[in-house]
Amino acid sequence: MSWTPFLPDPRYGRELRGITPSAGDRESIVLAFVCLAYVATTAGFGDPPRAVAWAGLGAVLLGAVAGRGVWAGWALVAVGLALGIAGRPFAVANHHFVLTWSSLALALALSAPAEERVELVRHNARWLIVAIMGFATVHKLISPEFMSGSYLTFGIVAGSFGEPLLRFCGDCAGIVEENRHAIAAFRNAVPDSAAVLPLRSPIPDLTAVVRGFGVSILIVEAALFGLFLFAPRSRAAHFLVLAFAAGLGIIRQELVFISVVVALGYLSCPHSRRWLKRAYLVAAVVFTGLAVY
Amino acid sequence: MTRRSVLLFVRRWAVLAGVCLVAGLQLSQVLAGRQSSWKGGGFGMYAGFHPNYAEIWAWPADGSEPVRFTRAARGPAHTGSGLRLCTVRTTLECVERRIPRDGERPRYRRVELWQRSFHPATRTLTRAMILAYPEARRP
Repeated sequence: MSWTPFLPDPRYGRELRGITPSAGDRESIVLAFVCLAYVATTAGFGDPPRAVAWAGLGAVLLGAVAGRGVWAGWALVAVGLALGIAGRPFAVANHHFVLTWSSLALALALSAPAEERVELVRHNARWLIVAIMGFATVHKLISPEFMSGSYLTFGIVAGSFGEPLLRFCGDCAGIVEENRHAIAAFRNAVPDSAAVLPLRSPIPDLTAVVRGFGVSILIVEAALFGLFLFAPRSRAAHFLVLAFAAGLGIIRQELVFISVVVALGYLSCPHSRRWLKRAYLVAAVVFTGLAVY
Repeated sequence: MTRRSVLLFVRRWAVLAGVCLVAGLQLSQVLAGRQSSWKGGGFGMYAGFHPNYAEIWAWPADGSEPVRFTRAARGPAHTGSGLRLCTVRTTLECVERRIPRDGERPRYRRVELWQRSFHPATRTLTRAMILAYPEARRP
Protein backbone atom coordinates (compact mmCIF):
# COMPACT_ATOMS: atom_id res chain seq x y z
CA MET A 1 0.00 0.00 0.00
CA SER A 2 1.39 3.35 -0.97
CA TRP A 3 1.17 6.08 1.66
CA THR A 4 2.50 8.79 -0.62
CA PRO A 5 0.14 11.76 -0.53
CA PHE A 6 -1.18 12.56 -3.97
CA LEU A 7 -1.95 15.87 -5.55
CA PRO A 8 -5.39 17.25 -4.73
CA ASP A 9 -8.10 16.81 -7.29
CA PRO A 10 -8.71 20.30 -8.74
CA ARG A 11 -12.46 19.84 -8.33
CA TYR A 12 -12.15 19.20 -4.64
CA GLY A 13 -9.05 21.24 -3.91
CA ARG A 14 -8.32 21.68 -0.24
CA GLU A 15 -10.64 18.87 0.74
CA LEU A 16 -8.43 16.06 -0.61
CA ARG A 17 -5.05 17.51 0.37
CA GLY A 18 -3.16 15.07 2.55
CA ILE A 19 -5.49 12.16 1.78
CA THR A 20 -3.58 9.08 0.68
CA PRO A 21 -4.60 6.84 -2.23
CA SER A 22 -5.20 4.07 0.27
CA ALA A 23 -7.97 6.11 1.91
CA GLY A 24 -10.60 4.68 -0.45
CA ASP A 25 -9.43 1.16 0.43
CA ARG A 26 -9.44 1.80 4.16
CA GLU A 27 -12.82 3.48 4.15
CA SER A 28 -14.44 0.67 2.21
CA ILE A 29 -13.81 -1.63 5.19
CA VAL A 30 -16.86 -0.11 6.90
CA LEU A 31 -19.03 -1.34 4.04
CA ALA A 32 -17.23 -4.70 4.16
CA PHE A 33 -18.38 -5.18 7.77
CA VAL A 34 -21.95 -4.24 6.87
CA CYS A 35 -21.81 -6.77 3.99
CA LEU A 36 -20.39 -9.33 6.38
CA ALA A 37 -23.25 -8.76 8.81
CA TYR A 38 -25.78 -9.11 5.99
CA VAL A 39 -24.26 -12.25 4.46
CA ALA A 40 -23.83 -13.85 7.88
CA THR A 41 -27.33 -13.14 9.16
CA THR A 42 -29.55 -13.38 6.08
CA ALA A 43 -30.75 -16.76 4.96
CA GLY A 44 -32.45 -17.41 1.68
CA PHE A 45 -30.33 -16.08 -1.12
CA GLY A 46 -28.80 -19.47 -1.85
CA ASP A 47 -25.64 -21.22 -0.73
CA PRO A 48 -23.46 -20.88 -3.89
CA PRO A 49 -23.97 -17.08 -4.11
CA ARG A 50 -23.33 -16.81 -0.38
CA ALA A 51 -20.07 -18.78 -0.75
CA VAL A 52 -18.92 -16.42 -3.52
CA ALA A 53 -19.78 -13.38 -1.37
CA TRP A 54 -17.90 -14.90 1.61
CA ALA A 55 -14.86 -15.48 -0.60
CA GLY A 56 -15.00 -11.89 -1.81
CA LEU A 57 -15.32 -10.48 1.69
CA GLY A 58 -12.44 -12.66 2.82
CA ALA A 59 -10.33 -11.26 0.01
CA VAL A 60 -11.34 -7.69 0.90
CA LEU A 61 -10.46 -8.08 4.57
CA LEU A 62 -7.23 -10.02 3.95
CA GLY A 63 -6.28 -7.45 1.31
CA ALA A 64 -6.84 -4.67 3.84
CA VAL A 65 -4.62 -6.42 6.41
CA ALA A 66 -1.91 -7.08 3.83
CA GLY A 67 -2.13 -3.54 2.47
CA ARG A 68 -2.93 -4.64 -1.08
CA GLY A 69 -5.60 -3.37 -3.43
CA VAL A 70 -8.90 -5.15 -2.92
CA TRP A 71 -10.93 -4.31 -6.02
CA ALA A 72 -11.06 -7.97 -7.11
CA GLY A 73 -12.46 -8.90 -3.69
CA TRP A 74 -15.23 -6.33 -4.10
CA ALA A 75 -15.91 -7.63 -7.62
CA LEU A 76 -16.35 -11.11 -6.14
CA VAL A 77 -18.72 -9.75 -3.47
CA ALA A 78 -20.74 -8.01 -6.21
CA VAL A 79 -20.90 -11.25 -8.24
CA GLY A 80 -22.02 -13.27 -5.19
CA LEU A 81 -24.76 -10.78 -4.30
CA ALA A 82 -25.83 -10.45 -7.96
CA LEU A 83 -26.15 -14.25 -8.20
CA GLY A 84 -28.37 -14.07 -5.12
CA ILE A 85 -30.59 -11.57 -6.95
CA ALA A 86 -30.61 -13.66 -10.13
CA GLY A 87 -31.85 -16.68 -8.15
CA ARG A 88 -34.73 -14.82 -6.44
CA PRO A 89 -35.15 -11.40 -8.06
CA PHE A 90 -38.55 -10.71 -6.50
CA ALA A 91 -37.76 -12.02 -3.04
CA VAL A 92 -34.54 -10.29 -1.98
CA ALA A 93 -34.72 -7.07 0.01
CA ASN A 94 -33.86 -3.62 -1.29
CA HIS A 95 -30.74 -3.46 0.88
CA HIS A 96 -29.48 -6.57 -0.94
CA PHE A 97 -29.68 -4.54 -4.16
CA VAL A 98 -27.98 -1.56 -2.50
CA LEU A 99 -25.13 -3.76 -1.22
CA THR A 100 -24.71 -5.26 -4.70
CA TRP A 101 -24.52 -1.83 -6.36
CA SER A 102 -22.19 -0.55 -3.62
CA SER A 103 -19.84 -3.53 -4.02
CA LEU A 104 -19.74 -2.99 -7.77
CA ALA A 105 -19.08 0.72 -7.24
CA LEU A 106 -16.17 -0.07 -4.92
CA ALA A 107 -14.74 -2.64 -7.34
CA LEU A 108 -14.81 -0.03 -10.11
CA ALA A 109 -13.47 2.78 -7.93
CA LEU A 110 -10.65 0.77 -6.37
CA SER A 111 -9.52 -0.56 -9.75
CA ALA A 112 -8.84 3.03 -10.86
CA PRO A 113 -5.43 4.73 -10.68
CA ALA A 114 -4.56 5.66 -7.10
CA GLU A 115 -5.14 9.38 -7.50
CA GLU A 116 -8.73 8.85 -8.68
CA ARG A 117 -9.90 6.37 -6.06
CA VAL A 118 -11.06 8.56 -3.21
CA GLU A 119 -13.06 10.82 -5.47
CA LEU A 120 -14.66 7.83 -7.25
CA VAL A 121 -15.68 6.21 -3.95
CA ARG A 122 -17.29 9.49 -2.80
CA HIS A 123 -18.94 10.10 -6.17
CA ASN A 124 -20.55 6.64 -6.38
CA ALA A 125 -21.70 6.61 -2.74
CA ARG A 126 -23.23 10.06 -3.19
CA TRP A 127 -25.18 9.09 -6.32
CA LEU A 128 -26.39 5.85 -4.74
CA ILE A 129 -27.94 7.91 -1.93
CA VAL A 130 -29.48 10.28 -4.49
CA ALA A 131 -31.02 7.33 -6.39
CA ILE A 132 -32.30 5.52 -3.28
CA MET A 133 -33.94 8.61 -1.81
CA GLY A 134 -35.25 9.85 -5.17
CA PHE A 135 -36.97 6.59 -6.08
CA ALA A 136 -38.21 6.08 -2.50
CA THR A 137 -39.87 9.51 -2.60
CA VAL A 138 -41.47 8.89 -6.01
CA HIS A 139 -42.87 5.53 -4.90
CA LYS A 140 -44.52 7.14 -1.89
CA LEU A 141 -45.95 10.01 -3.91
CA ILE A 142 -47.60 7.65 -6.43
CA SER A 143 -48.90 5.22 -3.82
CA PRO A 144 -52.59 5.77 -2.91
CA GLU A 145 -52.07 3.67 0.24
CA PHE A 146 -49.33 6.01 1.45
CA MET A 147 -50.91 9.28 0.38
CA SER A 148 -54.32 8.44 1.87
CA GLY A 149 -52.74 7.56 5.22
CA SER A 150 -54.14 4.03 4.98
CA TYR A 151 -50.79 2.27 5.20
CA LEU A 152 -49.33 4.42 7.98
CA THR A 153 -52.53 4.34 10.07
CA PHE A 154 -52.66 0.55 9.80
CA GLY A 155 -48.95 0.35 10.71
CA ILE A 156 -49.53 2.31 13.93
CA VAL A 157 -52.75 0.49 14.84
CA ALA A 158 -51.10 -2.91 14.26
CA GLY A 159 -47.89 -1.92 16.08
CA SER A 160 -45.58 -2.09 13.05
CA PHE A 161 -44.28 1.43 13.66
CA GLY A 162 -42.79 2.92 16.79
CA GLU A 163 -42.85 -0.32 18.76
CA PRO A 164 -40.17 0.84 21.28
CA LEU A 165 -42.32 3.92 22.04
CA LEU A 166 -45.44 1.90 22.92
CA ARG A 167 -44.12 0.91 26.34
CA PHE A 168 -44.06 4.57 27.38
CA CYS A 169 -47.67 5.17 26.43
CA GLY A 170 -50.06 3.81 29.05
CA ASP A 171 -52.36 1.20 27.59
CA CYS A 172 -51.04 1.49 24.01
CA ALA A 173 -49.20 -1.84 24.03
CA GLY A 174 -52.34 -3.62 25.28
CA ILE A 175 -54.53 -2.11 22.54
CA VAL A 176 -51.97 -3.02 19.85
CA GLU A 177 -51.80 -6.59 21.14
CA GLU A 178 -55.59 -6.80 21.06
CA ASN A 179 -55.60 -5.50 17.47
CA ARG A 180 -52.96 -8.04 16.44
CA HIS A 181 -55.01 -10.95 17.76
CA ALA A 182 -58.10 -9.66 15.95
CA ILE A 183 -56.12 -9.27 12.68
CA ALA A 184 -54.71 -12.81 12.96
CA ALA A 185 -58.20 -14.28 13.45
CA PHE A 186 -59.54 -12.18 10.56
CA ARG A 187 -56.73 -13.37 8.33
CA ASN A 188 -57.34 -17.04 9.07
CA ALA A 189 -60.95 -16.88 7.89
CA VAL A 190 -61.75 -17.54 4.21
CA PRO A 191 -61.80 -14.03 2.69
CA ASP A 192 -65.03 -12.26 2.03
CA SER A 193 -65.12 -8.75 0.63
CA ALA A 194 -68.10 -7.91 2.85
CA ALA A 195 -66.25 -8.76 6.06
CA VAL A 196 -65.11 -5.73 8.08
CA LEU A 197 -62.84 -5.67 11.12
CA PRO A 198 -62.92 -2.51 13.26
CA LEU A 199 -59.65 -1.79 15.08
CA ARG A 200 -58.90 0.48 18.04
CA SER A 201 -56.49 3.38 17.96
CA PRO A 202 -53.68 3.05 20.50
CA ILE A 203 -53.06 6.81 20.58
CA PRO A 204 -55.30 9.88 20.71
CA ASP A 205 -55.64 12.06 17.63
CA LEU A 206 -54.35 9.35 15.32
CA THR A 207 -55.32 11.19 12.12
CA ALA A 208 -53.15 14.21 12.96
CA VAL A 209 -50.25 11.98 14.03
CA VAL A 210 -50.42 10.05 10.75
CA ARG A 211 -50.56 13.24 8.71
CA GLY A 212 -47.47 14.61 10.49
CA PHE A 213 -45.66 11.28 10.21
CA GLY A 214 -46.36 10.95 6.46
CA VAL A 215 -45.37 14.52 5.68
CA SER A 216 -42.16 14.17 7.75
CA ILE A 217 -41.15 11.01 5.87
CA LEU A 218 -41.67 12.73 2.51
CA ILE A 219 -39.80 15.87 3.59
CA VAL A 220 -36.80 13.97 4.99
CA GLU A 221 -36.45 11.66 1.97
CA ALA A 222 -36.89 14.51 -0.51
CA ALA A 223 -34.41 16.64 1.47
CA LEU A 224 -31.83 13.83 1.42
CA PHE A 225 -32.34 13.53 -2.33
CA GLY A 226 -31.94 17.28 -2.83
CA LEU A 227 -29.01 17.75 -0.47
CA PHE A 228 -26.99 14.89 -1.94
CA LEU A 229 -27.84 16.08 -5.43
CA PHE A 230 -26.91 19.74 -4.94
CA ALA A 231 -24.77 19.93 -1.77
CA PRO A 232 -23.26 16.51 -1.14
CA ARG A 233 -20.38 17.83 0.97
CA SER A 234 -22.52 20.02 3.22
CA ARG A 235 -22.86 19.41 6.94
CA ALA A 236 -26.66 19.47 6.54
CA ALA A 237 -26.63 16.52 4.12
CA HIS A 238 -24.61 14.29 6.43
CA PHE A 239 -26.34 15.43 9.59
CA LEU A 240 -29.66 14.50 7.98
CA VAL A 241 -28.38 10.99 7.08
CA LEU A 242 -27.46 10.43 10.72
CA ALA A 243 -30.79 11.84 11.93
CA PHE A 244 -32.63 9.66 9.39
CA ALA A 245 -30.75 6.58 10.63
CA ALA A 246 -31.51 7.39 14.28
CA GLY A 247 -35.18 8.11 13.52
CA LEU A 248 -35.61 4.95 11.49
CA GLY A 249 -33.95 2.99 14.30
CA ILE A 250 -36.68 4.16 16.69
CA ILE A 251 -39.64 3.88 14.31
CA ARG A 252 -38.79 0.63 12.59
CA GLN A 253 -35.82 -1.62 13.32
CA GLU A 254 -34.56 -2.11 9.76
CA LEU A 255 -31.05 -2.48 11.11
CA VAL A 256 -29.28 -3.81 8.02
CA PHE A 257 -30.83 -1.14 5.79
CA ILE A 258 -29.86 1.55 8.32
CA SER A 259 -26.28 0.18 8.45
CA VAL A 260 -26.07 0.29 4.65
CA VAL A 261 -27.29 3.91 4.51
CA VAL A 262 -24.84 4.91 7.26
CA ALA A 263 -21.96 3.18 5.43
CA LEU A 264 -22.85 5.00 2.20
CA GLY A 265 -23.04 8.28 4.11
CA TYR A 266 -19.61 7.57 5.58
CA LEU A 267 -18.12 6.81 2.16
CA SER A 268 -19.62 9.96 0.64
CA CYS A 269 -18.54 12.22 3.51
CA PRO A 270 -15.41 14.33 2.90
CA HIS A 271 -12.41 13.90 5.18
CA SER A 272 -12.65 17.55 6.20
CA ARG A 273 -15.86 16.75 8.16
CA ARG A 274 -13.99 14.90 10.86
CA TRP A 275 -16.63 14.80 13.58
CA LEU A 276 -19.23 13.65 11.05
CA LYS A 277 -16.90 10.86 9.89
CA ARG A 278 -16.51 9.79 13.51
CA ALA A 279 -20.26 9.97 14.10
CA TYR A 280 -20.78 7.78 11.01
CA LEU A 281 -18.27 5.26 12.33
CA VAL A 282 -19.99 5.08 15.72
CA ALA A 283 -23.41 4.74 14.04
CA ALA A 284 -22.09 2.01 11.69
CA VAL A 285 -20.65 0.04 14.62
CA VAL A 286 -23.84 0.40 16.68
CA PHE A 287 -26.32 -0.50 13.92
CA THR A 288 -24.21 -3.29 12.42
CA GLY A 289 -23.68 -4.70 15.92
CA LEU A 290 -27.42 -4.56 16.63
CA ALA A 291 -28.18 -6.20 13.26
CA VAL A 292 -25.87 -9.11 14.07
CA TYR A 293 -27.17 -9.33 17.64
CA MET B 1 -11.24 10.52 -26.16
CA THR B 2 -8.49 8.52 -24.47
CA ARG B 3 -8.87 5.04 -22.99
CA ARG B 4 -8.32 6.52 -19.54
CA SER B 5 -11.13 9.04 -19.89
CA VAL B 6 -13.52 6.33 -21.13
CA LEU B 7 -12.64 4.17 -18.14
CA LEU B 8 -13.11 7.11 -15.80
CA PHE B 9 -16.53 7.78 -17.32
CA VAL B 10 -17.54 4.12 -16.83
CA ARG B 11 -16.28 4.10 -13.25
CA ARG B 12 -18.20 7.27 -12.48
CA TRP B 13 -21.54 6.52 -14.11
CA ALA B 14 -21.97 2.75 -14.76
CA VAL B 15 -23.41 2.03 -11.31
CA LEU B 16 -25.84 4.94 -11.39
CA ALA B 17 -26.97 3.90 -14.88
CA GLY B 18 -27.57 0.33 -13.66
CA VAL B 19 -29.48 1.52 -10.59
CA CYS B 20 -31.71 3.80 -12.68
CA LEU B 21 -32.37 1.06 -15.24
CA VAL B 22 -33.42 -1.55 -12.66
CA ALA B 23 -35.37 0.89 -10.47
CA GLY B 24 -37.01 2.47 -13.54
CA LEU B 25 -38.17 -0.92 -14.83
CA GLN B 26 -39.52 -1.81 -11.39
CA LEU B 27 -41.32 1.54 -11.16
CA SER B 28 -42.98 0.97 -14.55
CA GLN B 29 -44.22 -2.45 -13.35
CA VAL B 30 -45.58 -0.90 -10.17
CA LEU B 31 -47.38 1.80 -12.15
CA ALA B 32 -48.90 -0.90 -14.37
CA GLY B 33 -50.20 -2.71 -11.26
CA ARG B 34 -48.16 -5.81 -12.03
CA GLN B 35 -45.81 -5.70 -9.06
CA SER B 36 -45.50 -4.73 -5.42
CA SER B 37 -43.45 -1.59 -4.80
CA TRP B 38 -41.52 -3.36 -2.05
CA LYS B 39 -39.55 -5.81 -4.17
CA GLY B 40 -37.53 -5.81 -7.36
CA GLY B 41 -34.79 -3.36 -6.45
CA GLY B 42 -36.71 -0.12 -7.02
CA PHE B 43 -36.50 1.27 -3.46
CA GLY B 44 -40.28 1.41 -3.01
CA MET B 45 -40.19 0.07 0.55
CA TYR B 46 -42.74 1.53 2.99
CA ALA B 47 -44.83 3.02 0.20
CA GLY B 48 -47.70 0.58 0.78
CA PHE B 49 -48.68 -2.74 2.31
CA HIS B 50 -45.92 -5.35 2.28
CA PRO B 51 -46.61 -8.35 0.01
CA ASN B 52 -46.52 -10.53 3.13
CA TYR B 53 -49.87 -8.95 4.01
CA ALA B 54 -51.40 -10.31 0.81
CA GLU B 55 -53.15 -13.65 1.04
CA ILE B 56 -53.28 -16.53 -1.39
CA TRP B 57 -56.21 -18.89 -0.99
CA ALA B 58 -56.54 -22.07 -3.01
CA TRP B 59 -59.42 -24.49 -3.41
CA PRO B 60 -58.10 -28.09 -3.80
CA ALA B 61 -59.28 -30.09 -6.80
CA ASP B 62 -60.48 -32.88 -4.48
CA GLY B 63 -63.18 -30.59 -3.07
CA SER B 64 -61.66 -30.26 0.41
CA GLU B 65 -61.52 -27.01 2.39
CA PRO B 66 -59.60 -24.05 0.94
CA VAL B 67 -56.05 -23.51 2.16
CA ARG B 68 -54.13 -20.30 2.70
CA PHE B 69 -50.55 -20.08 1.45
CA THR B 70 -48.37 -18.30 3.92
CA ARG B 71 -44.63 -17.96 4.32
CA ALA B 72 -44.77 -20.08 7.47
CA ALA B 73 -47.17 -22.81 6.33
CA ARG B 74 -45.19 -25.73 4.99
CA GLY B 75 -47.75 -28.52 5.36
CA PRO B 76 -48.38 -31.11 2.65
CA ALA B 77 -51.08 -28.98 1.07
CA HIS B 78 -48.75 -26.02 0.74
CA THR B 79 -45.59 -27.56 -0.64
CA GLY B 80 -44.18 -27.61 -4.14
CA SER B 81 -45.31 -24.11 -4.97
CA GLY B 82 -43.75 -20.75 -5.53
CA LEU B 83 -47.25 -19.27 -5.38
CA ARG B 84 -46.21 -16.89 -2.61
CA LEU B 85 -44.16 -15.07 -5.23
CA CYS B 86 -47.44 -13.97 -6.81
CA THR B 87 -48.02 -11.65 -3.85
CA VAL B 88 -45.10 -9.69 -5.36
CA ARG B 89 -45.73 -10.35 -9.09
CA THR B 90 -49.46 -9.80 -8.99
CA THR B 91 -50.34 -11.22 -12.41
CA LEU B 92 -52.44 -14.12 -13.66
CA GLU B 93 -49.41 -15.45 -15.58
CA CYS B 94 -47.56 -15.76 -12.29
CA VAL B 95 -50.35 -17.89 -10.78
CA GLU B 96 -50.75 -19.94 -13.95
CA ARG B 97 -47.04 -20.73 -14.08
CA ARG B 98 -46.63 -21.53 -10.40
CA ILE B 99 -49.82 -23.35 -9.47
CA PRO B 100 -48.86 -26.83 -8.13
CA ARG B 101 -49.72 -29.58 -10.59
CA ASP B 102 -50.04 -33.36 -10.59
CA GLY B 103 -48.65 -33.99 -14.06
CA GLU B 104 -50.55 -31.59 -16.31
CA ARG B 105 -53.52 -31.19 -13.97
CA PRO B 106 -53.54 -28.29 -11.48
CA ARG B 107 -53.83 -29.45 -7.88
CA TYR B 108 -56.22 -26.57 -7.17
CA ARG B 109 -59.36 -25.68 -9.06
CA ARG B 110 -59.21 -22.05 -8.05
CA VAL B 111 -56.62 -19.67 -6.64
CA GLU B 112 -57.41 -16.20 -5.32
CA LEU B 113 -55.10 -13.36 -4.34
CA TRP B 114 -56.45 -10.97 -1.71
CA GLN B 115 -54.96 -7.69 -0.57
CA ARG B 116 -55.67 -5.79 2.62
CA SER B 117 -57.35 -2.47 2.60
CA PHE B 118 -57.51 -0.20 5.62
CA HIS B 119 -59.82 2.78 5.93
CA PRO B 120 -58.06 5.37 8.06
CA ALA B 121 -61.16 7.42 8.89
CA THR B 122 -63.24 4.49 10.20
CA ARG B 123 -60.20 2.41 11.24
CA THR B 124 -61.68 -0.67 9.64
CA LEU B 125 -59.82 -3.44 7.90
CA THR B 126 -61.30 -5.13 4.85
CA ARG B 127 -59.93 -7.41 2.14
CA ALA B 128 -60.25 -7.02 -1.60
CA MET B 129 -59.66 -9.71 -4.22
CA ILE B 130 -57.12 -8.51 -6.74
CA LEU B 131 -57.03 -11.57 -8.99
CA ALA B 132 -58.49 -15.04 -9.37
CA TYR B 133 -57.36 -18.03 -11.43
CA PRO B 134 -59.13 -19.34 -13.40
CA GLU B 135 -61.42 -16.39 -13.71
CA ALA B 136 -64.55 -18.43 -12.97
CA ARG B 137 -66.67 -18.11 -9.85
CA ARG B 138 -65.59 -19.52 -6.51
CA PRO B 139 -66.59 -23.20 -6.06
